[in-house]
Formats: sequence, structure tokens, C-alpha cells
Amino acid sequence: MRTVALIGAGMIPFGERFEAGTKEMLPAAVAAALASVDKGIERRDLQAAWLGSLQPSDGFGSGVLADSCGLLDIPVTRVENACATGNDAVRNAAMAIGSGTFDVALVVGADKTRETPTNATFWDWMNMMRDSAWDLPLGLIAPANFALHVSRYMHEYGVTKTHLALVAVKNHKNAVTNPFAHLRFEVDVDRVLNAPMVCDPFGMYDCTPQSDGAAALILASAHVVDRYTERPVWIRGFGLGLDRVMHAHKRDMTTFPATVRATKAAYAMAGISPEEIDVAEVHDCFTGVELMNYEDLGFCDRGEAKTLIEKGETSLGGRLPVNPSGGLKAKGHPPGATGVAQCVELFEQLRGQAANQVDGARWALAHNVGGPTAVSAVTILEGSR
Amino acid sequence: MAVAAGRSALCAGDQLCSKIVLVTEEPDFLQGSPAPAVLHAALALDTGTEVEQRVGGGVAAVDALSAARAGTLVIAVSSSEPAGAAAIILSTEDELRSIGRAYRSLPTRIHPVSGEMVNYADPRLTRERGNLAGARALLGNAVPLAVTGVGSDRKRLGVDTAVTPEAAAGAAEPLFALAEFYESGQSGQLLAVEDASAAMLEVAPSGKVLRIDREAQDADGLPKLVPGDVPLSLPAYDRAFTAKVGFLGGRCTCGELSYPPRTVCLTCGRSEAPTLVPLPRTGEVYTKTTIRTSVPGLACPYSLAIVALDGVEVRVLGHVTDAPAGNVEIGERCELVLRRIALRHSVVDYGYAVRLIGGRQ
Repeated sequence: MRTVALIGAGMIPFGERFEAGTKEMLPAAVAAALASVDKGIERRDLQAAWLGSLQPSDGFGSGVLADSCGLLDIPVTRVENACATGNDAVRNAAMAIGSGTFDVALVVGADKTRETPTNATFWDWMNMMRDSAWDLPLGLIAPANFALHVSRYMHEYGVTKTHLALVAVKNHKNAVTNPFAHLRFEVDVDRVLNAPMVCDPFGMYDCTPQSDGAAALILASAHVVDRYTERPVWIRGFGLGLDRVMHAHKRDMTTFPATVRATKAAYAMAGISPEEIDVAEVHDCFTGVELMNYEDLGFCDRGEAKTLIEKGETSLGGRLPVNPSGGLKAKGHPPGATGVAQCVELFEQLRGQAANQVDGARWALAHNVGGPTAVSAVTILEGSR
Repeated sequence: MAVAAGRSALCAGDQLCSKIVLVTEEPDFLQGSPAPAVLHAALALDTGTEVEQRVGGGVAAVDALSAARAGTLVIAVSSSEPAGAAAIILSTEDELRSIGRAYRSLPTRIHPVSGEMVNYADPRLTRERGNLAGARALLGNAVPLAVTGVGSDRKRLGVDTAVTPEAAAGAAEPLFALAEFYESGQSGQLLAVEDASAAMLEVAPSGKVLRIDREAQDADGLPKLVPGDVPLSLPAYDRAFTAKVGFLGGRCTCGELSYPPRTVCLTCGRSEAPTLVPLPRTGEVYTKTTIRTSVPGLACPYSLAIVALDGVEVRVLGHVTDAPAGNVEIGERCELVLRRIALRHSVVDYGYAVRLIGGRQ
């Protein structure tokens, strides 16, 4: 496979973007990505595009991308793979360039979760995520989907709600200085612990907000990279992992096997081990999920995540900063855009341009896990030396 | 409730059930009722078992009892307060004999086909021209041991009743009274009153109480239904029905047990319809959560639990039932009981819910 790089990355601020539909968000994110290319790029240089979106507003997604961004002469494919959509769209574009089919391609992720009432959006989308006869009528909503895992995880490993709250405190703090973040305010442990309960053990501040947003990346084959930049970010590895779709069939709910599978593939492809990662953007849709991710991604041993968060090792300035952007928790979570925006953040981290810069970062990892905790996508990036 | 009562009667004895009569005051459906199929699947009945549905209260229940033959399971469900259900399976036709019936019309409680229940707001008229007049029309010189359908007004009839079923009303009350006859070994007459109609039974001393399960739940603090609907696919409902309402797993030729039943075995890879087998109905809570946000179409808040069933490698996900939301812990002992899971586009969706039975492993 040919080596593939990120040569441009951009996004629009995540939040309640009532003024913008998909057809307004897509061109704004694409324009930001095009503008970030060091030596400039023409729209006609793009040879193919992938749109990551769970449920595009404004109608037919691929068509809305081609139409709103003036890309009628290239193939556009929509990727939907639950919350792993963004990083899976990156994976598909990287494979197409790696295969030699295209030299330059666009990846855009976008979703609007605030297009319908707050208690309706994700519930409406559940119809495509749950078995219609068996699980849907039980009301296994997105937070419950993860709470069943985290309840068992806390039970087996002596993890407390305070450990969960520390994740919210860290990620909210990071978001304050990220101009693209949805929730730019700090919280303390007491405020998190005393918030209204959403889905035991998750209170309001343990949960991601419902965000609108879009993010875009431009990928290029190594042999054309020099035309666009001297500082590309290399896509060194990617992986996609699946798992059982019904929670009753998951034998050990203290882990996400989909993440373990995706991670194993990505590390093998990159030829590195978890110890080499300098900065990571991981799927913290709910605080406890970030802790489980530390273990599934190999950042620590089983049951050790609580020690990492207690000691601040994943805070800015720690051994391995996680979610310097604020994460899904505070930057926001428009599902199709989330994984793409993680790569936007890491593109900037590996080029030394991030709002919350991790000094000397060379290796970075982006991770999503979603659906009925049955799919995970991981991307491993390396900066230019 | 009907399935719980029917299961109590059937599980406790060895009497074969050849017919079911279901008496309900307020049937959920005039057409498209799932009741016969749900009773068949949930009680694991022989496919030839007839299910007859009757509408009415205590008099309708007594009519059903007096017309029943040996092997008939009569289930009566009260939806008026206090709600409840009771079931009786008859072993001989001589146990219960009708000795009188008086149908009169004074519609003080009306439930039109489309609309809410209307109660006539005059207790004195209801009592003197309705219930008690109906009772007196049949009473004559008889001295029944039990009078149902009149509440504490039974004293006004001047009859000293030895049997007074507690916490019962409506269609199920005569069945609760019969259970007390049998428990105390008495024989005598039972007078059931419903509006202005009445029916009387002679109760032979041959019956015995197989089992009494009492379940009660305080109506205060119950979850509230959030406006909205839960999407429904009727083909998916149909494919799941037998295993879901019967609580049946799929047993592959190789021995692998799956739930919901799989067509392709995970162990041996066979691709054939598995044999449906009953699953154990007790187990232990593996994990749980309580949903306190509002979910359209569901009664909120509610708790969910994944239960590891006893003795098999099967776990099931279900609502926690018969307890306030949040009262469930990992490791608690529980049983699986048939419950109404959701109302989806007016279709009642039945499945199994988790009831805590006390204790931990």
C-alpha cells in the first residue's frame, strides 16, 4: 500500500448551530480544510470524497456534499458506522489512496443532533441501532447502552463516581481554551457529582452534549505531498473492530472488544506499541467510557485507569495527555464529525499548532467506539520529523 | 396479570388444561387482541387449547365458572381498583353449580367502546337500585357464605358472610372468594353482584387451593408515560413472538443454547432452525442501570438489568419490574416474569421483565 498523509484539516465550531443545516456546515468545514494547506490547493485537485454522517439533515447526504461544495465531477460515498463513522471514513479514503486509485481525496464528517428536540434525536436514531423486536422497546438509549458496561466495570475494579467526575473536570478544562469546543467552561468534582442523574452512574456532566458540527481532512499520496506541504502528518495505521450487537451477548462488559480488535490492527499496521503514543483523542461520550478506553487501548493494565486519572497522567502536562481538545465530553459530539474532528486536532498537535499543544508530540491516536458498543475505529498518526 | 395467575394455577397442579376462559372488565382490544397467542406462548399450552374471551365483572366470572367443564382454566382480571387477577382450574364439573341468575340493567358504571369509564355520581341510587337490588333479586332465603361486588354494603343485605376476600374487587373477586372457601374447607353458596345483576353458585367442598401468589404494588410513585411512540415492525414482532413471549431459547443439535434463538450456531456453524426449549426463569443481576431522562413512548424512570440465568450460559436484558426505579443491585437474585414491555403504535409488546426475589449470591 502507498503511504498516505494528511495535508490539510479544518472544522467549524461545534455547538447548537441552529443557523446552519448540513448544506451550510459542509462547505464551511471544507473551506477551512482547503485553507489550511500550506502551499495552497485547488478544489479541482480533489479526486474523490467520503462523507461520514449518521443521519444527514437536508436530505441525501452524498448529494448534499457534492452539490453544496461544488464537487459534482468526483465520486462521493457516504460512510455510516455508528459513532465510529468519522475514523472509518478516514480509513476508507486512506485505503483508496493507498491502493493507487486516487492521489488526493477529501473526508468530511458532519451531523446535526439539534435538528429535532433533545429527547427525540438519539431516540429516533436508535431505530437503526437496536434490534427492533428485542432491544428497542426496552428503551436501551445511548447512555444506558454505556452505563450497563460502566456499572459492571466500577463494580469489578472499585472505580468510584469521583473517578468518573475527574474525567469531566479534565476535559472541560481543556475545552476552555479550544475555540472550536461546545462547552467552554470548567466544572469541579462537586458540581459533577451533584448534577441531575441521567442514567446511573452518569449524571448530566458525565455525558456528552448534543452538538451540531462538521470537520474536514484532505488526504494525499506520499508522492504528491511535496506539492502541498513540507509538514504532512502521516497516517501510519488504522483498524476497525466489531463486537456482538446485543448487550446480553457480551461476556465481559468491563471491556469493549471492538476497541481491542481495532487497536490491535492499528498498532500492528503502524509497527508501534501503546507506550509510543504521545497524545490521544479517545471516545469519551460518557466519562467512565474514557477510563475503560485507557485499558482497551493499552495505555495501562486492567483496573489501572483510575490510577491514571487520579495522578493526572492523562491531563495536559502528564505522561500521556488524552483529549486535549476537550473530547466528546466538552468539545462536543456530532457523531459523523467526531472522528474527523479528532484527526483535525491531532493534525494540529503533530504540527505544533494546537490550542492546547502537547510539547514534542510525534505519535498520536484517534479512537471511536459506538453503536450498541459494537464498533470501534482507530487511526494512528505520525508527525514529520 | 392474567398470565401470572394462570401460571400459578397450572404450575401448582397436574391438571391438564383443555380450555381457557379469560374474563376481563376492560379488554385492551376489540379486534386484533394478542391475548390468545400470548396465553398460549407464555403458558406453553398445547396448540389445540381453545381460548375464549369474555367481557364483564364478577357476574361474568361466575357465569364462566358455572359453565366450565373439567380441565377448563378460568382466569379473571380486575382492572378496577384494586387491580388483580385470579385463576381456577376445574378438576370435576360438580365443583361449582349455578343456582340462580338475575340480569337487570341499571348502568351506573359505563365504559363505551370509544371513551373513558363513566361512573354515575349517585352512591345511594347505585347501592339501593343497583347492587343491593340485584343481590336481593336472587337472595330469597339463601344464606350465602360470600357476597362479592358490593364491598362493605354486604352488611346491608342482612347476611352474615363468613368469607370476605380481602383486597379484591371486580371480575377477580369471586375467584378470590372461592380460594378462601377452599382454604377454609367450607362449602356453601357464593353470590356475585355486578351493577344490578347477580349470579349465585353452589360450591362443593371438593376443591383445593393449589397455590396462592399475592403480588401488590403501590400505585404512588409509579413511572409516568412520556408522550411519543416506540417504532414497531410487525414482521419483526412476528418473528420474535414465540421465543419472546414463551421465554424459549434455541438448542442446536450440538448442544449450544442461544437466546434469542440463532439460525446459525456460533459453536458448530450449523445453519438450521434450532429446537426451542424453555429457559430457566431465575438468575442473578450481572449489571444494571436506571434511566431517569425522558424517553418518548416509555414510562420513565425505569431500570434495566442484564441477568445471568441459573445453570445455563445465557444472559437476558430486561426492565426491572414490581419495584421502584433504581432499587436494583449487581448480584441480586431475581426471576423473569411476563410483562407488558411497551405499547407500540397501539400494539401491546409483551416480553420478560426482571423481578427481584431477595437475596444475593
